[in-house]
Amino acid sequence: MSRCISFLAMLLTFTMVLTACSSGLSSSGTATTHIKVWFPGNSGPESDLVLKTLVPAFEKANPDITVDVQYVDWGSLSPKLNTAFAGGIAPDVFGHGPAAAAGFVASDRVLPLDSYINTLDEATRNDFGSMLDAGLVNGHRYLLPMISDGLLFAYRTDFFQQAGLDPTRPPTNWDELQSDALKLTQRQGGKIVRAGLEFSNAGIGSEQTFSTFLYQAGGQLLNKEGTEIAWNSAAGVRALQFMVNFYNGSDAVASKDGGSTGTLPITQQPLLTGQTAMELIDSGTLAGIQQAAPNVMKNIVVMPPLGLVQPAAYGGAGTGLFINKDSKHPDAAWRFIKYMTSVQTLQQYTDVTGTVPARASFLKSDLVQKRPFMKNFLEAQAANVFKPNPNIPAWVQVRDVLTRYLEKAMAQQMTPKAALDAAAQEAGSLLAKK
Amino acid sequence: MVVETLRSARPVPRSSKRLSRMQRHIALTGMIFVAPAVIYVLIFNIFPVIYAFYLSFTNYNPLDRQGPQLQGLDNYRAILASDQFWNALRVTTLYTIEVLPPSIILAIALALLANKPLRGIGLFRAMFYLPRIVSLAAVSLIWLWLYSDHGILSYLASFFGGGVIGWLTSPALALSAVAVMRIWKSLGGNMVLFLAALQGIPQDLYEAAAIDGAGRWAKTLHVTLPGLRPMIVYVTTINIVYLFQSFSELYIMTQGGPVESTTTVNILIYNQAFQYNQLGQASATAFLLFAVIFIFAFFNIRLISARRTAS
Amino acid sequence: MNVARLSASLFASSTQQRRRSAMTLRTLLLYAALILVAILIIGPFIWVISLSFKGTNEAFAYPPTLLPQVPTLKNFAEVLSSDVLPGAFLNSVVVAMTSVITNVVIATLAGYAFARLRFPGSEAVFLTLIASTMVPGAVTLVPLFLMAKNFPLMGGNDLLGHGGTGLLDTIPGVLLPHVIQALNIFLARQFFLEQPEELAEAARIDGATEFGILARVYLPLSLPMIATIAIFAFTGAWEDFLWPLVVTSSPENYTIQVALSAFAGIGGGGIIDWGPLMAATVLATLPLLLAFIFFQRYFVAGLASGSVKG
Repeated sequence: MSRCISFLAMLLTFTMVLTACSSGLSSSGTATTHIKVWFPGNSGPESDLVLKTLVPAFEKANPDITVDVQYVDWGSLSPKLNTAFAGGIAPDVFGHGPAAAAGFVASDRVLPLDSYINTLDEATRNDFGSMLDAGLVNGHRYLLPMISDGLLFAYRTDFFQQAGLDPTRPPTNWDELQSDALKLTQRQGGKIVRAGLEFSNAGIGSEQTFSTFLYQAGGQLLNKEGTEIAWNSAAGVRALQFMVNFYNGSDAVASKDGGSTGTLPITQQPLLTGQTAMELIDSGTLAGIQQAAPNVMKNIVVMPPLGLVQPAAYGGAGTGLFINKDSKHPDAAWRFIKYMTSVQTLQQYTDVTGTVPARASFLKSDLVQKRPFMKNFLEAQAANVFKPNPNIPAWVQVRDVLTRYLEKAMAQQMTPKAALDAAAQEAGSLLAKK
Repeated sequence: MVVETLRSARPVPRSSKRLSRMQRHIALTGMIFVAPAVIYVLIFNIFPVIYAFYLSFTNYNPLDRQGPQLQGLDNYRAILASDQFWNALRVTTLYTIEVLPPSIILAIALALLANKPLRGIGLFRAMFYLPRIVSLAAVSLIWLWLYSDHGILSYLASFFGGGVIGWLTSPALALSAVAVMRIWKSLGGNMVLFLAALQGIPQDLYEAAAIDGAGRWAKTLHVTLPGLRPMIVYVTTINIVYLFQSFSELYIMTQGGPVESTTTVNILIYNQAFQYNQLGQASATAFLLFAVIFIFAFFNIRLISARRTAS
Repeated sequence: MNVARLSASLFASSTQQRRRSAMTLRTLLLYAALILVAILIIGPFIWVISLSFKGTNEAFAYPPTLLPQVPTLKNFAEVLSSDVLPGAFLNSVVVAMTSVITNVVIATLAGYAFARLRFPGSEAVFLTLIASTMVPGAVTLVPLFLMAKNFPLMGGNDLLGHGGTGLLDTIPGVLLPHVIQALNIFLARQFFLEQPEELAEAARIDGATEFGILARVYLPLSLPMIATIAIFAFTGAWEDFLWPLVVTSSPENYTIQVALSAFAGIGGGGIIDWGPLMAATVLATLPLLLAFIFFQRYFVAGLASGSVKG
């Protein structure tokens, strides 16, 4: 028995020593304010820039603040953030998409930023423009966006020429999109070896694609108040049928066997490898292609926004920064947010990530010189072409319901109308709950 | 198996006079020995389970400040009425049925093979055991490549005609494709258990059968398989418990797709708990799954034990 | 079920089971079958190693070639140059090794008691332990998290567990669910059930304490079981991803699985680049392999007197 006890005592001591060591490691200096920040994503170059350049520069300019930044990959962000909130150890600042804003507001976890935003000068506020409304919930603003997101169609001019199409006259409406895609498709023995057009047709991407076509057709996802589902309108059915036709049937221009393009490294992206002639694509991927294969990039051009009823596309503010309501240092947190969304910072940040900054002044910057395709995205942003996802608390769940049924429709397990109606019914109860 | 082995734990009663003092001393020592395990499991396993059970009757969202609010049976009603749950249950059951029988049969065959007294057999056994010690997550990534259009399986399949097969992207194939991977991973672990059982079958039983004129197949049927029965019960039960909780390999390889053809109940629970913050619903789903597992495990034990003839 | 033979069958070297194996046709066919099965089972791992030495373009090349045309160490360099991974690796080792010790000690004691030291209610208690493995871990995560946070007298907490962050963001916190696994108690119990009771009887007559009986009589015979529990405990603690993810928040406390996921972005729409991913997989698996080889070697000797029937 004594051996047992002495062993257990050893184990206990071992445990306590470890605790002491680790808590010693994580304590910081006492005179300065210390804030914790979580950024989403796992891009090496991005985290290197932030951790090794941007944060030290901020700390130098603000010697009374130390910042501890961590990157959490998107898949792990929710479990980690939610348990952190439940346990009261959530960070002072965290990045997330605007669609999450309503959920956090409903749980009273984020600080309204209105008073802080009002301290910005008017020029800055105008520079953000409508991006400032990205985190608008119940009349208050809760986030400051860093980047803007958006999908536009890009195409290979060399493939256009090969197919006898004029590379300077891309499609301008749905009919042309469809007919051009057909002409651009190359088959070999019944299999498609080059798709005419590709877009995300599974997972979250499928909702973004559907949103694009839906708004182009004059429809919308929810009604203006966010209390009713509106995607199962005639416009919605038309948009979904349009999507389905690209991948199914004898006139299909693409095949689904390849799987999701979102997980492919840049050098395997279909627009780069020539697997497709046109693609609904985001600016980050285009920036990656430009860096990885500048020669191929010379043959890639972005189309002006397409439309049936109106030019539209999925997009809007991208990742933005929130302040934790329970943060003990909201002022320091705000100073960090202001710094991260400043023009100089965004210049370096978007240079590395290839994303579009959420500030209109970049239209005149050399960003556009370096990356010509940015012009299309910035212009579309300025023209309010981009339609963001609705700002409701249950959005993640609603979106997943829609995605499930979109997938069923794309797999032709349900007709577009049946799919959208079923999705509307299931998601409708979620809206009613909150 | 549990029932049988529980019976074998009962010591043979001796004279009742000497029983009390000795038995009490033993009983006390027994309780002291299990105390660390029981206390720890009670606090850190059982208590969270009980708390989760309580949560299943609430609308708990970890983000909310006010904490769990009781809602009665609403969660259970909603889940039992949702198509998603029944689909997930169907997928989970299908997955278990696709994995379990082949992995048992192949593991027994492998054990018979690996039981041969050949030189270097230990090396082969260790090789067969390798998938068991590599993590499920790592194995899922490996097979993700194997199944991709630039993976070796697609290349081999191309020799049999046809083009790119979407192993993981076609709703008809995805679940079976992952099942193959799971069978592959489980072979070594199950094999070792059966190997041990094989080596526990007394030689004289074989000799007696030979005297009775039994050939090799008859011996296998009437000596080997019955002798393996206790181990078969144990292995199938453990595997049922784990297979019904399948999550990692499907989450990594298909994320529950395509078109929900690989969404198991545990994936559903994960999404409910961590994507939608509906911990109350997730708990309710978890306990429904627990009930299913318990019933299957229980019937599995009864089914295989009951057919036990005198041996 | 015979746990002694289970471990023996795994750890026995070929010398203990070698008979005169003449090169008959049957033997040849058996070897052929063994080799074929070995290829099928080991095959995927060969490809992992192959991929880990390939650059991105070659990793996606079709048809895939076994030997890299342009072998590169870039992937390993990328993984090893990360600041977080070496520390995370060490954390995982500490947690896994501690889990081995606690599991072996607690499971041996409890398993022996359930098998040989009959007390009222032991059946019910044992069944409850087993039943606890049937509840999916996702729903006990938050309750366990809250318990870790309110752990008394740790991380700034008072006696009632309020005020601080308890065991959150600490290595002992990561260890919490891995101190004892119910399955290992089950295993130990089965093992002890098959040991002859007469040994205990004899020792009792000689006046040995119950603990003495366990320590001096049965423990020397239990090395194969201990090795098996050690492997189960090590792999269980090593593989865990979700719990370390939510309980740690500083990178210096990450375990290897968490650090790797940040690196590879699994299941959350991260970019899947086979080269670095496979290199990371190799590095994450290597310790398990080494642990396996290590434990096997150590306990083979104890099997010479084992109960292996041929």
